[in-house]
Parts: sequence; C-alpha cells; structure tokens
Amino acid sequence: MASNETSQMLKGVLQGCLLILLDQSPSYGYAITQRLDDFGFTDVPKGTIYPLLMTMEKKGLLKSEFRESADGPKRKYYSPTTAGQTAKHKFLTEWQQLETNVTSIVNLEEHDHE
Amino acid sequence: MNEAELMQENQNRSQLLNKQNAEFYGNIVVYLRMRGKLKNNVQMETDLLDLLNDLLDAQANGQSAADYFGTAPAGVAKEMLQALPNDWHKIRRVALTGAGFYALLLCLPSLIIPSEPVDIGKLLIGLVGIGIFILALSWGLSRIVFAKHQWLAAGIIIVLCGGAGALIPMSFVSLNTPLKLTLSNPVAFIVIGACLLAAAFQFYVDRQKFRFLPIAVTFLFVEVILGILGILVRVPMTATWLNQDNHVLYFLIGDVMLIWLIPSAWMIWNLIQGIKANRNRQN
Repeated sequence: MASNETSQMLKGVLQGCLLILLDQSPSYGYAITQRLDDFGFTDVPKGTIYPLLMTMEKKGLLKSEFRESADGPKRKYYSPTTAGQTAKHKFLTEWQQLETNVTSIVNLEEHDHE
Repeated sequence: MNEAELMQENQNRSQLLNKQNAEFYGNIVVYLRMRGKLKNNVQMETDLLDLLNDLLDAQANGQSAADYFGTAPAGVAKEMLQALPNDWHKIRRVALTGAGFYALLLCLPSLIIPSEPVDIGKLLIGLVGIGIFILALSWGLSRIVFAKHQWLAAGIIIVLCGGAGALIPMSFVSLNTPLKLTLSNPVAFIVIGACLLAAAFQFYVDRQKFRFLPIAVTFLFVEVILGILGILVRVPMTATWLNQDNHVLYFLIGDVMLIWLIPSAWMIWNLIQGIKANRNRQN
C-alpha cells in the first residue's frame, strides 16, 4: 500500500495522468484502473478514481457517453473535452518544469554523497 | 434510461455480487441515495450502476470490493457525493410541487368533519414538519451505513426518528391557528376531488420506485378512505347513517385495519424475500 505522502503526491498528478490516458483512447472506470495498474499505479486504491472522474466531468474537463463494452453491459466511457485537452497541455508543461526542478535538486543531493 | 429503470437495473445486477461485496456496495448505495436528495438522481443512479459493473468485473477477476475500491469507502462515498452536481431544477420542482401536493393531501383529514373549518395555518406548519422530518430521517439513515457500531447508531436513529415521527402527528392534531377557512359543500367536494387526483398522481410517480411501493399503496389507501369519508359525511343519506351508533368510528377502524394489514404484510413479505436472497448469496 502506498504511504500517505505518496498518496498525497499522486492525488495531484492523477488528474493529469487521466487526461493523457483518456485523450489517447476513451475508456470506462474498470478499464482505466487496469491501465493505471499497467503503468505501476497498483497501490492507488481504485475507489479514489471514481470521485476524481466525476469531479473532472463536473468541471467540464471530461465528457461521458454510454457505449457497449467488449464483454458485458453498456459502460460509461470518458473522454477529454476541449477544456480537458487544454488542461492536459498545461499539466504537461508544468510537469516538465517540475521534473526539471526536482531532478536538479535530487542531483545536488547525489553529488553531495559522492 | 430513466431513474426507475436505472434503479431496477441496479437491483437486478447487484444480485450477482457475493455477500461480502453486496454489503460493501449496499453501504455506498444507501449513503448516496440518502444524502443525495438534492442531487441529480439520473446521474447518481448512472454512476452507481457504473461502479456496480466495475465491482462485478473486479469480482470476476478474483478481487473483493474492498481490495478493488479501497478500505475507506466512507471517504470515497463522501467525495462522490460532493462531485455530483446539485439539481436546482429538481430542488425547485420538489419544493413547489411537493409542497402543493402535500398541502392538498394534508387537507383531507380536516375535511371529514363538515362543521369544522379548515385550519390553513396548521396545514402550513404540518408541511414544514414533514419536510424537516424527511430530511432528518434521510440524514440519520446515511449515518448508519459507515458507523463503527451500526446497531447502536441504528438504535439511536430509530428512537430519535420514531419519537419525532410520533410527536409530529400528535402536535399536529392538537395545533390550533387563527388562519381558518370554512368550506361550503360544493367547494369541499371540489377540494376532495383535487386531493384524490393529487393522491392518484403521487401514487403514479411513486409506484415506479419499486422499493417504496408498499408505502405508496398505504398512502393512497389513507387518502382514498379519507376522501370517501369526506364525501359520505356531506351526502345527507349516508351522513345520517354514519352519525348513528358510532358508524364513523367502525368505518375508520375497519379501514385502518385494512390499511395496516395489507401493506404491512407486503413489506414483511419483501423483507423475508430479501433476507432469503441474501442468505443464498455466495460468500
């Protein structure tokens, strides 16, 4: 299980990750959680995805429609709206900046140990 | 799908959950339905059905609902509730039509004594009382599902709501306001007719919410009996008979027995079937 600190960090980036995944291919709850697992998010309690998807839909970042799924009943497929795509680009820019900054600081720590 | 169809689909598919998962999912359902009175019902039922389908997928892959969803369903259910949009159109509709309907329906008991004027002030106070009671009861039921000691919480809620439920009609009967209106017989017939139409419409709406059907039937029975009595006491021939030898009382007692017996037996039957179905679920 992810530690509390990891969970807090994840909460901030999960929305951006979902926007990227759903922009690649629209998907529904369970399939989204399985894709997150494929990318190593196995420790994220999947219950947290549902309110996040609903909040993103309420904010107008995602839209949803019921479609037939491959194996079973109709499912609620989510995909980003135009506002969602803008939010995705903003997330990517901010993430790259954050990654550069954090890597610089982490490198500093590593140099000190050497 | 409309709300009733979504609820029916939800009911049918939730039979496929095993006992442990059904309990887990049932708590989330009760919490959202009880707390989501001002939310968009179709969206709430859609999201619940979507979650149910995912839990069924997880179950098929050997995961329990707690493994999949996480061990803090209360917090997630709260977040889901916050994420659901408020339905202002529904709130306005419920407030206006609900108040209108219940005002008409509360009117019927006061029309069974032709010589007594209708106490409008009392009806308005009754309406506020019913509104507060419904909201308090829904809030109380939603508190039980994630309580640490469910039986204790249920006991407290039953005592509080039962007390309030008994107190409201008792204080309603003894209430007296100066805002009174005397109705002539023709006007009383029109009001009774309007009340019966309102009761029939209310039943038509509630019957789709299959879980509350016995309550809807009880409500309809009460209104129809009071309406019939309101008419009979104003027709000279039947009024004479009803006023002899406590006939009104026998009429009411006989009907109350019917009202009490049929829906009660129906609800107990539903309860037994529910317990049986739950017992037959796989662990």
